[in-house]
Amino acid sequence: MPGGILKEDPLIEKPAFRVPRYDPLIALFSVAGSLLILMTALAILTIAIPELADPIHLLSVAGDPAIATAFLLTFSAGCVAVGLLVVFGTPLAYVMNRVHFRGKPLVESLIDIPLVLPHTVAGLMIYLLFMSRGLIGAPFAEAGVFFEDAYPGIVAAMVFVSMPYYVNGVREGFAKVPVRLENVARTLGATAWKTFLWISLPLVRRHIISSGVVAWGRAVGEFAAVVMIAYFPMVVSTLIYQRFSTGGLAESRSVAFLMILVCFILFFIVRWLTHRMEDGHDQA
Amino acid sequence: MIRLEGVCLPLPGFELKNINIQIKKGTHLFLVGPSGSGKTLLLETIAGLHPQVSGKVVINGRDMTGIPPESRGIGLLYQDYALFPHLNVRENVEFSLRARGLAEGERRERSVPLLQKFGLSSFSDRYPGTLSGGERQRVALARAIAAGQEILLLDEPFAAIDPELRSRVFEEVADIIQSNNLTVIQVSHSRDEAYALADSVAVMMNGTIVQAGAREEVFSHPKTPGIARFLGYENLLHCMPQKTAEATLFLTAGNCVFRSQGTIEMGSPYTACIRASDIRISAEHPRTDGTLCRTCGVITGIIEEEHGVKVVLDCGVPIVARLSWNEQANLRLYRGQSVTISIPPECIHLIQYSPDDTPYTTDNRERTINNGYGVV
Repeated sequence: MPGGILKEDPLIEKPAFRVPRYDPLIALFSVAGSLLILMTALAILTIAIPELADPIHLLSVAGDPAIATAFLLTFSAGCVAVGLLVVFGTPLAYVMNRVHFRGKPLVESLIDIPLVLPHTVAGLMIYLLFMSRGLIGAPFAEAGVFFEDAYPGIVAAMVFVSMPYYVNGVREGFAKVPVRLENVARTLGATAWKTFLWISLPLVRRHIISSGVVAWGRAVGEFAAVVMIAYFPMVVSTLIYQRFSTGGLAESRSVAFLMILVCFILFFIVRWLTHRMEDGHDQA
Repeated sequence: MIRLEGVCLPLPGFELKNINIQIKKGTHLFLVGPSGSGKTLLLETIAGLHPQVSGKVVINGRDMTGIPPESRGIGLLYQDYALFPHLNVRENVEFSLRARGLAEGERRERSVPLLQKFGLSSFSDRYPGTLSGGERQRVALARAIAAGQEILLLDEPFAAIDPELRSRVFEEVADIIQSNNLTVIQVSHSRDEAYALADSVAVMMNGTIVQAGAREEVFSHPKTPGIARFLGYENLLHCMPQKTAEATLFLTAGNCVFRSQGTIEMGSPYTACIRASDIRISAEHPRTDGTLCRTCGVITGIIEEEHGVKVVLDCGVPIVARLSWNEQANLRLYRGQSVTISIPPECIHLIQYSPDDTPYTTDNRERTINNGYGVV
């Protein structure tokens, strides 16, 4: 970078000092927190150990074309869902942060409702809305686009359940962008649209990425809402359920382990990259 | 010229009320007033950032109603300069040129002389987070100048600068404003800044302009005790005029007698506004001579300050005086000491007393004053 100055993320607040690791309070908190980490690690190990003990079976499952298709379907549908959230959720997050209007708590509750609903209920709502006779499904059906037992239905369910994670995350990002920056940009000749594209959006880039990753994780992990509208084609979670119902624990466990492995590697890479960026900023 | 005609801006919990003022081209107007009086909001309204405004903002004869901020030709500088943190110095300065659709080469061509003029060339690739307060301010000014705006709105631009740097920055800003013949409206809490830079001053309280005029006029003739208090008149004494054979004298509520200038309406109470630094203290016995009225009081407190001491006196009414360190060294004043105070008649500003006059509030008379245009 010219001048040897690293570009700083203006929205990152660096701590004034680092708490020493030997601090008794930190030690106590670390022990308490470790219990949660331990629980997750044990849950993974209970699946991983038997699978790794039988690599031949694991490889045969991994080579199953049905499983590869399910993974591809799940991850691509998750990406499409996140893409839709970026296109429609980012403007929503901006409006929810910048505009005060009558009935805002109602809209906020509507955004949050997928968080609190049982996912079977979410699935039922999606099904009723997007089925061929549904309010949204009917006009699409007339145009030849169907949601029941189809890829669009999976995407619709994923968008619904992951929306609050994305919208609320990006909204927090916009809250950290001072309105003054937008005001100044306007007085410098930028239209409202250019101001959004050149000032607001770049400053929430990090929130868009992190919220998108969380929303993607939530989307690919969804089972109940997806299965209500689209049992077929099978996403990974449906496939695991199907294998568990028909082939027992051993069959479903292998697919589950592969899902854990792929998701863990993906999230590890994202976290590692994020930390690398932050370390770069710390050295700036 | 900027003209505001009956500008009102209702917001939840606060409103700008009936603002009328004219600002001539090339004028440096200081907008002063207590915190929360609506100064920043008024700047933003002039810039067009609050479309729900009623009334008219007229700039160079053109009614700006419905004109968006990007088409008004007004630059706005906030207290923290609001530099775009993800753009480097050059990109910040070139922002307005980019917004106008200029190609990169042309932008560079125009920004290079500006960066040189403002002493920013050596760190044009750095980001705002790595700059000092003074450097940030120069970038913000260069950015505003690059936009070619003839009107600049400054919201406390010196508040974030170290006191040692401030006087140098004052001069730099004054040079830039003069050389570019800018019309400037500057929000400030500092009377020193206003004295140093302002051509004219408008005082804002409770969402409206309560007084506007030439700097000297406003500072020496505040229209209400509330304005006087804000402008640094520490002593507001309620008094009644008393005619004598020799001259018109005023009797305060206490035992303080002093002479004043000007036309006085007999039988009507007044508020005498006196700056603490205009009160003289001596150890002599009280007497009346041709120029001064002297009266006695007892020192009830001496408070040390940065540039001298504040002396609190009981003269039947509480009076505050300020002395330099040298004066205090000569007089060696102490608490409980009986002293004589005198006030030069030209240092006493009289306002007809009204029971509604309370500091920092808008009374009916202030609203009446505001009904006419304050031309500055």
